[in-house]
Amino acid sequence: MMRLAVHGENADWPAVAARLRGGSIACTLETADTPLPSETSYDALLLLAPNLSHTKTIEQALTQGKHVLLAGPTPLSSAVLEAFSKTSQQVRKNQATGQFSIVNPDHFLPSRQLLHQQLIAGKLGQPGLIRMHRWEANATPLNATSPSLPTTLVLDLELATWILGALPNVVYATEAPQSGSSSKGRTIQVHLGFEGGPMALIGYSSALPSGDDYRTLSVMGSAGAAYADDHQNMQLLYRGHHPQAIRAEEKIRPLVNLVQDFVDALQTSRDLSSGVANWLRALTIAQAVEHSLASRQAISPEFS
Amino acid sequence: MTLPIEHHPLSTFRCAALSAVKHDYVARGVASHPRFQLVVVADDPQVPDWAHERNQQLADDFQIPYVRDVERALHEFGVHVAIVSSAAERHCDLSIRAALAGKHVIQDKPLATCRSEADRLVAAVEHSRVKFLMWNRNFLPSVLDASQRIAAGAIGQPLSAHVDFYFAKDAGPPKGSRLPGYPPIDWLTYQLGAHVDGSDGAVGHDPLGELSNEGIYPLGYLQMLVGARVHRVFARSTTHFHQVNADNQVEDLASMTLEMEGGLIGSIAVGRSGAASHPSGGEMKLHVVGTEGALVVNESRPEISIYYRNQPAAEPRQRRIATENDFLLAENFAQAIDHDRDTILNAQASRDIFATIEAALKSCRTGQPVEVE
Repeated sequence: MMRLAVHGENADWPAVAARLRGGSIACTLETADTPLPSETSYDALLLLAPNLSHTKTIEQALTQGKHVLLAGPTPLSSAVLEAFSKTSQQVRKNQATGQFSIVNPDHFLPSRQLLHQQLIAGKLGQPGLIRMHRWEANATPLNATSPSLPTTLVLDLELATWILGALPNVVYATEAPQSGSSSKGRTIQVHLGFEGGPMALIGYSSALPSGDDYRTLSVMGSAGAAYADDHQNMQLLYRGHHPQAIRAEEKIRPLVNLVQDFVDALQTSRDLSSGVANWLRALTIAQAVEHSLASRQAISPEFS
Repeated sequence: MTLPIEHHPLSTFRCAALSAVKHDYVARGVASHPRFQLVVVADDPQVPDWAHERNQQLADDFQIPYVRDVERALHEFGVHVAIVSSAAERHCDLSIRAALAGKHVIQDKPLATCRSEADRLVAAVEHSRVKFLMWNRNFLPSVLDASQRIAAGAIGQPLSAHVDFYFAKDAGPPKGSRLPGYPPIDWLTYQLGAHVDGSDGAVGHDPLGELSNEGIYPLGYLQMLVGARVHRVFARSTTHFHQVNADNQVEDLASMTLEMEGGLIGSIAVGRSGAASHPSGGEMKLHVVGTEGALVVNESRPEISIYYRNQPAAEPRQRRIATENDFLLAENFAQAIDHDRDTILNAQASRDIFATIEAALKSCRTGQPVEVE
């Protein structure tokens, strides 16, 4: 049984624990300052949307030889993540201890999982065009210094590479200028090109009024297509005048899927190091987006 | 001002269908309006036999003459309006001739296949002071509703606007299916053969990709929804689906990032994505973000779903209903003539769209954003 120490604001950990096989929630860290439990009482640490104030907790867990998984979005920089990775490698004696990784939680949305499975199975043929929109009410900057990118946009950059199974060779981005310093939020359009022709359009906006967000993802494959669109999943509530649209939510499943995958990986000693590499590449694409916004030119990202 | 054609409001417009060889739905759509009467079909005498046959078919259906002389038809049949839906490379020539003859013009897409022709058409329309309408889909119920909501301030000031425009149709065998030793598919031969089941695309000698052929529709939506001219484009394209596109080196899938007047940004995804990609003709959606809210619109609504035993695979499962696009376009054109107004997509706006697509194609080649001239 893999014992997890976890942190994630608003996460329903009891509901996750009730669904978990081969693992348990040993400890819930209420805040970033909450100390880790005793070294012998947990095997792995899972942090949802970690921020800069979590760095000591992460370092401590890694030094203890514990597995650590971060689920984005996160403002932690490439340098910080690489340092964690190095610590993990130094402390780690074998595959059974001290793995460090970071994942995009959107991989575990049931809608995205099913779509990815269909792609991997070849049912849609070769993916040619990915289209994403993410609209939300508040943007969280990637770093403390404005005008860096919203962290959730980085999730979508990573998701595009995951779905296409490739890295872009060209990045172009533009932003509605009046939204740049406005309290109304930012509205950004990212265009990715991939070797051999595939492409991705990623629209982001934090200009929505407060309330629900909106997301959509479509994939046009050479033999078929998939549409994962909030628009398709709206229920209607009638209380006079125009009805309200209420999204049929995926609820607790994304988090359960994420935690279960982590537990399964640890129990089978699956190597999780590719997660860090993937995230660092997403940050490289994010840097190219920023360069493109600044230069108004298409950028060829350089991946290490 | 004096209209170039003496015309009394609410009277009937006599129409000539010029070279109805590409899509006769334009002529039929116009004729569905009670104020427009198709009186003659005409074409140049030297067009190939298959073109004469298609023209004759339309003439027979409407029980009107087919005249193998465009100028004679325009002058001898009391024509007010010329409806042009020829092979794409002849669009401008026929429209310019009609405009210079003082006839109002309704034209199928694309506007032109080269810039000089597009500019010449705009000049001819302005010189003759006739009305021009590029046939489009802007009056589909959902698009019209979105436009009215945005104009009423439902989402505040638009910040970004996006259109997905996929035609879920096949175009012959899939890409990669040509066996070694077999010749590439000839564009015109393929299009002529595909006309039988309506799956033909841009008929003509010059192969046309989806950006050139269908880009007018999503760009027309943006022009109506946000009313801002595009001044810069970044685009990508590929041949992803069909062997005929691969053999003729024209794209069947493309994406554009648009930078528009007033700082507005946008994007378009366009493609002929194959029949397997959608059960009912294709995913067509509008996404518009504004300072006070946002709109998500499915272009195909309203619709109903119909399923039954032994249903043909090619039959759409969802059927659009309450569509008045044809009538409303014709009505818009009639109003423009009656009251000397602009049409919903006039020659200059159509030329702007042509220039945007031209810039997009250049961007696809260079890999960099391109200013729209």
